[in-house]
Amino acid sequence: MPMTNTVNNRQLFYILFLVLTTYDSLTIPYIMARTTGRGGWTTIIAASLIFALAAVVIAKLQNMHKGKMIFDYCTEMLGPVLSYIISAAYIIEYTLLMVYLNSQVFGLIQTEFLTRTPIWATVSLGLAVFGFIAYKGITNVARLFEIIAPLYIISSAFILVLVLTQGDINNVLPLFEPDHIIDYVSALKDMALPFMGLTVITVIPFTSRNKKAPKWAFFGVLFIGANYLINMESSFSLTGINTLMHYKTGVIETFRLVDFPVIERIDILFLTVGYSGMFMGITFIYTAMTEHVCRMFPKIKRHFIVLAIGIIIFIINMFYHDLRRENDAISIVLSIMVTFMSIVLPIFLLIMSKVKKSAQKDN
Amino acid sequence: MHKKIISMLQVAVLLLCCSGCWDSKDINDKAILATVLLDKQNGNYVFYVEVAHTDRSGGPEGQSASPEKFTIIRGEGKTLIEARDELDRRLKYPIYISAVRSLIITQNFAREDIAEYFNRLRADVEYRKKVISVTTDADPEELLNIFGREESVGLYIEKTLDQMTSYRQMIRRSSSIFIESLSSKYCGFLIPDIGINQNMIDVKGFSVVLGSKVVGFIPANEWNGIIFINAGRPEIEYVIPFEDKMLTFLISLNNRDIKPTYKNGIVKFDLKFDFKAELQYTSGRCPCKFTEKQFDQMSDIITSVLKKDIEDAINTSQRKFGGDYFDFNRRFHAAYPTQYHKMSWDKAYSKAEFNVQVKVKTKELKMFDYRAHGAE
Repeated sequence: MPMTNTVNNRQLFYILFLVLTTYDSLTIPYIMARTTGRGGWTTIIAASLIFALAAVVIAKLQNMHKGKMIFDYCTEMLGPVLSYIISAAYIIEYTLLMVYLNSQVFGLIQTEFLTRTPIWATVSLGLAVFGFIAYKGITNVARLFEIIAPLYIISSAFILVLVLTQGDINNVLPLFEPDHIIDYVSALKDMALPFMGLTVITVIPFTSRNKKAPKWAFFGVLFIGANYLINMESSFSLTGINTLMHYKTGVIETFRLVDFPVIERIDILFLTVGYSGMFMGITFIYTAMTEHVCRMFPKIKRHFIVLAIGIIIFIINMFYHDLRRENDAISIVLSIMVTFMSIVLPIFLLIMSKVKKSAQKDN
Repeated sequence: MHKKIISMLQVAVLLLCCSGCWDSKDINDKAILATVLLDKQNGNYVFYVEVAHTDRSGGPEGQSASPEKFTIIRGEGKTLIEARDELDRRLKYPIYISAVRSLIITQNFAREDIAEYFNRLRADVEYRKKVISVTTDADPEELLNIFGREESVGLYIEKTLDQMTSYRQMIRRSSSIFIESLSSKYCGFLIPDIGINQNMIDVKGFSVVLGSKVVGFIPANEWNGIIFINAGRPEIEYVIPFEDKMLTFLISLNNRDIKPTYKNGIVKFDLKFDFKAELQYTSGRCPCKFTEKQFDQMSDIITSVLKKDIEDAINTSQRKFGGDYFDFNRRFHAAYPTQYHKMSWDKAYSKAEFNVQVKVKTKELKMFDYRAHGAE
C-alpha cells in the first residue's frame, strides 16, 4: 500500500512533544526528587540543551537526504549490511521503548482506574488500536497529532497554572544547593529516558517544506524541557519533595490536590487528555517500527508487519510485566541505547554525509 | 462488506470496554464513606466509619424510610489491619474511601503515633490526600451521632473549616501537607482540634504535632498569633480598650516578611508584619469624633497588642513545646541549606532569637467617617 510519509514542521513539533512527554512528564518530579532535589531545574535545562542539539543534528541529517528515511540513506552511504544493522538497532530500541511505555502506561491505568482488569486485556486492546493507526502511515498519524497535541498542551498548561498558584514557594526553595552539584551532574543520565523518543525523526522523510525543521526541532525540544521544568517545580510546590519521592507518577498525585471550584477532580481532566497524548506517543513509536520493518522487508505486506509487531510486543509485554523487578535493568539498557542512537549515531552519520557530499563536489 | 463487519466488530469491542471491563461496579453496591474516625481503646486500634445510604438518596423508598442518612460502623483490632478487617466483615459492600470528607483522629490515638496512619493514607491511592484531618478528645460515638445520623459529621467539619478559611481566620491545610511534614527531616505542624460544645461541633484550637505524635494543645483564644504567622492573608476582629470606650477593629495582615540570619551558630529571625486596622464600631454614644492624634494612639495600642500575640505564639512554641510548628525550619533551609543539613533544628530552634516588628495603619471602614469634624 503506497504511503505518503511527509509531515510539516508543526506536525513535527507535535510529534516530538507527545512522543517525548508520553509518560515521563508524569515521572519527572519523582526522578528529580530522588536524584537532585530542588536544584533539578539545572539538570533539566542541561539535558534539554544537549538533546535539543541532538534534535538539530537529526533534522539536518534528514534535510540532507530529502525524501528518505534513515534506512534509505544508510544503504546509500554505508551499504546494505550496515544499514540493516542500524535499522535492527533502531527496531530493538523502539521495541524496548514500546514495552517500557506499555508496561508503565497500562500499569498506571490498572493502578488508577481498572484495578481488577488484567493487564493482558488492556494491553491487547491498546495494541490493536495503536496498530490500526500505525497501519495508516506517518502522514495520517501526524494529522491526528494536530488534533490531540494542542488539546494536551492547552489542558496541561491550564492545570499547571492552577497548581503554581496554589503551591507554596518554600517547597521549591532553595533553588540551588552547592553541596548537591555532583548530584545535578550525575542525574543527567536519568534524563536520557525522558528524551528517548527523539530518534523517531529519523523515520520521517523530509521535503522542501521542512527547511526550517532543525529550528523547529531545537525549540521543540527546549519547549519539552520547559514542560518538564514546570511539571517538576509545580509538583514540588504543591505536594512537596519528600512526598514525591514515593510517588512514581507524582504529577497525578499533585493534580489530585488542586482545588478548582468547577471541576472537583482536576486529575481526571488531565488523565482524559493525558492518556490520549500517551496513546499517541506510543502509536508513533509503533509507526516508526513499522516503517523500519517495511523498508527492511519490502516484499512483506504492511498489514502483516503491523500485526506481527503487535503480537511480538504483546508477548514481550506479558513477559516483561511479570518481570517488573527488572525495570531498573531495562531502564539502564534503554538509557545507554537512547544516548547512542539519538546522539552518537546521528553525529556520525551527519559527518559521513558531509564528507560524502564534499567528496562528490570534488569529483 | 468485510470491512463493514470488521468495523462493527471493532465498535462492539470498544463498547464492551466502556463499562470498565472487570471493574464495573454499581455505585449502590459500594459502602461510600463520608467520615473516618480513628481511636485507640484499651491498646486496640478502633475505626469508626460513617457510611452514606446511597440507596435512600431519592425516590419513594427513601422518603418512607427512616430519616437517618448515615450508618456508623465500628471495627477494632490489635493492628490497623485487624481493625480494618473487622470493619470489612461488618459492611455489606466494599468500602469506597475516595469520598471521605474528614479524617478524625482522637487524642488517644494521636498522642501515641499519628505518623502510622498518615503513612497508610499516603500509600493508599484511593484515599484523597486533600482530605481534612482533625483531632478530637470527644467521645467518638457521641461525636458521630451528634446530628442523629441525618447529616454527615465529616462534611460538617469540612464546611466549618472551609468557611473559617474563607473568612481568613483559619489555616486550611489538607492531609497532604501533614504527610509532607512527616516525611521531612524535621516534623512539626498544627492540626485543628474539634470538640462538642453545647451539643454542637466546635473548633476548639490546635493540636501540636512534633516528631510523629501530638504533644499538646493550643486553645482557640491563643491562636491569633499563630494565624498571623502561618495563614495566607488573615483577618481577625479585635476589641481594643481606648479611653472610656471599647473599639472594635478588623485587623488585616497586608504583608509579612520573615527573614532568617545565621551568625555565630545562632539562628535569628526578623519578622516584619504590616497590618491594616479598620475601625468598625465603638461602645457608648456619639463615638464619631476622633482626631488624627487619637488614631495614632489607637495604632500604638493595636501594635503592642498584636506584637504581644505574635511573640506569645513563638514563645509558646519555644518554651512550652520546644518545637517549631510554624515552618520556620523551611525558611531557614531555603536561606542556609548547607548549615541546615548539618544542624539539629530542635536545638537550634529552642535557642533561636526572634525580632518581631509590627506596623499598624489605623483606618476607618470605607463607608464611614469617624474623624472629628467642625460643624455640630
